[in-house]
Amino acid sequence: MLSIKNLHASIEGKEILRGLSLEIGPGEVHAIMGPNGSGKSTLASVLAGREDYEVTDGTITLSKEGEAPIDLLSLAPEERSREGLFLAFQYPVEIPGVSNLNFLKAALAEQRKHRGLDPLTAREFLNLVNEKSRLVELDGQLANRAVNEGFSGGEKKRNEIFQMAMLEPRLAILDETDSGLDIDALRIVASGVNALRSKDRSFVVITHYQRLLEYIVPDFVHVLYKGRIVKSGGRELALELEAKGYDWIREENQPASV
Amino acid sequence: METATTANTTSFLEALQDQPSALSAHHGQQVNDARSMSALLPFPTTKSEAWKYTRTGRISNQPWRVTPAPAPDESTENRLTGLETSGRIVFINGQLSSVQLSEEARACVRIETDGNLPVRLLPQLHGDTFNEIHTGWCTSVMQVHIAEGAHLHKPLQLVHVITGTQVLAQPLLVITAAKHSVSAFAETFITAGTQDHSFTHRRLWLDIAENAHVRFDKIQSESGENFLLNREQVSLKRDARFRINTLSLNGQWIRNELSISLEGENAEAGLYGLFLPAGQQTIDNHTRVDHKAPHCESRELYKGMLRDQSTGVFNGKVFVHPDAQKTNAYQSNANILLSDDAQMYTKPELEIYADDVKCSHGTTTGQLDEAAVFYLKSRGIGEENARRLLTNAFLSDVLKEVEADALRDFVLRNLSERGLLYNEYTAAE
Ligand SMILES: Nc1ncnc2c1ncn2[C@@H]1O[C@H](COP(=O)(O)OP(=O)(O)O)[C@@H](O)[C@H]1O
Ligand SMILES: [Mg+2]
Repeated sequence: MLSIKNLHASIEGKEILRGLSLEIGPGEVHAIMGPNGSGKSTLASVLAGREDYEVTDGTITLSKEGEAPIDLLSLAPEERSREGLFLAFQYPVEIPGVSNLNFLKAALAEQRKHRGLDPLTAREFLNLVNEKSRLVELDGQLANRAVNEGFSGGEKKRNEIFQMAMLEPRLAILDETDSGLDIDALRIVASGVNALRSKDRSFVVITHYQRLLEYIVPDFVHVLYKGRIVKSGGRELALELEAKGYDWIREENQPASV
Repeated sequence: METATTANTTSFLEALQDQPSALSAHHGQQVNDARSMSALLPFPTTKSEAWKYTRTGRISNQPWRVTPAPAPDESTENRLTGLETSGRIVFINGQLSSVQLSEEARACVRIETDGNLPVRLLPQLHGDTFNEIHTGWCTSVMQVHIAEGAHLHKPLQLVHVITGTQVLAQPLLVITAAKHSVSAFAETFITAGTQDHSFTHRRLWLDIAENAHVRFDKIQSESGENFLLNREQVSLKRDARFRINTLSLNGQWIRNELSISLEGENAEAGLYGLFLPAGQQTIDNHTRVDHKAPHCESRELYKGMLRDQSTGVFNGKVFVHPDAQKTNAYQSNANILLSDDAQMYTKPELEIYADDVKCSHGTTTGQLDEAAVFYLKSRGIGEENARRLLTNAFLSDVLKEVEADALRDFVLRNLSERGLLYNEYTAAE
């Protein structure tokens, strides 16, 4: 599904990702954990195509059975999205004056055009909105308001999952979607994600807390440290991290003293 | 002796010497005075505060002419179609060309075109160079009286058309809205010919009597080498309501000077503006609101979106006079620069001499929010459409104030042609 090889990326001349490699198969859920500032959001941004980051080395390939592999780095952000990549932002952006519904209608129309499909009729669109907003228990009111404007933290995160449900990506990256959520909101978000799990859809779940992984059970857990994946394992690695903190990772990765 | 007179008015006045003024028949003295003053008063330069960013050189150094109104033809057609009106008054090159009123309007609208102004208005004929030149070579005078209690919901359209070169168009409009009347106006300055070359100075005096309501939409969309100066003086009596939308879509040089005086208790005025200069264009809005009576309200919102090397100016003065207790005055100017080379000069000026008032003002000037652009793109929306969605959102606060569908459609079509609009049409491209 997604193959990241030796990825190096920098911002404002500062190298943040330093040779990151990761293989994600279809239907798999990968959790990425790591201390603050280790480069988790950078990875998410580079995958989504944010122009502020410069990729200096490495490759990212998106593939699907029966289709030619796609060099993700050669695509603009909107093209990546149309190819089935979705990023749930750590900090969703407020867009005053653009209604959530018009925004999604526009997004869906362009996604469908890319697949050679006609736009949905108004009724089809609204039915879809109703169905998907129920999935994350998003109040119908929110759909009509301006994108994220005046939303609470939890509403913003649910709106991200709602958009994901509407766009039905093949690879979703959730960047700290659990941060700042109370337990009820966390359950709602997690069950929204779980409802979308399928054998063709993969997830990268970036999180700080293993709590989320009790609800979204990952197939693999990776530790990102200083721009590299320094440890990979199964679910139990998350519990170990929770118990021991990140200090042992730091110690293990000290440059050897001379 | 070397004349200390103003070199910079000479070329302007030279070609005008023997030309008529529409005010001559009844106000010969004022016209003569104004002509003498025109020769003495210099054109404002960027040294004066009020003209700091808007140059007058390309107006002052041209030999303009007052031309007899050409017969209407294709080039002078009304370009705002589909608007349901109570009538149309058409000016070609600043000369009155036709007046057409609906039956409903004929019953409650009186029109005078003989240039005979009431004595109380005469002092207003004078002022700076532009006013003196206007009085000295006024091209037509039109007085519109809305009768007491009239209800004119469909707008009266005031159409200004320019055709030809070196045209000086200086109409004077005087509108009185009598007590309890309701009326609407749609004024259009739309030229399409690229060869046209003109200076239009349109003056408007609007008196809104007790409890009368007036709505005024103005669309400015000029092509070619047209310079457009609009000066408006509006007074509101007790309980009067006034709403004006100034929509400056296109024009190489546009300056709007809008002055509103709230003179009776509980009067309310709303001033909304949109200006979209591109290329080398300059669009300048100077507004002034005088709160002279208690319990009045003014709401002002101007939005600018600037492209290329264009210049925008917003200067909004609000004066709250000592007697105007319980005033509510809100002013806001927000601008987006779509290019690094565009320049926006914005200056709110509030002077408050009463103590029990609520006033607020704010200005912002910035770029499109790139984080928002990225967010939209990350959902599959293309670069162009992402930007259009954001520019639409920015402009919508003002656009929603435009009531007549045909006016809004005209504006939307114009925005769409200039790539500033997101709609089904552009989405399907
Ligand atoms: N615009 C920027 N300019 C310079 N450094 C940045 C910028 N954005 C992020 N960084 C740095 O990149 C590093 C990784 O940040 P980030 O990817 O957000 O970490 P994480 O998501 O793991 O907490 C941090 O050290 C941060 O300070
Ligand atoms: Mg982060």
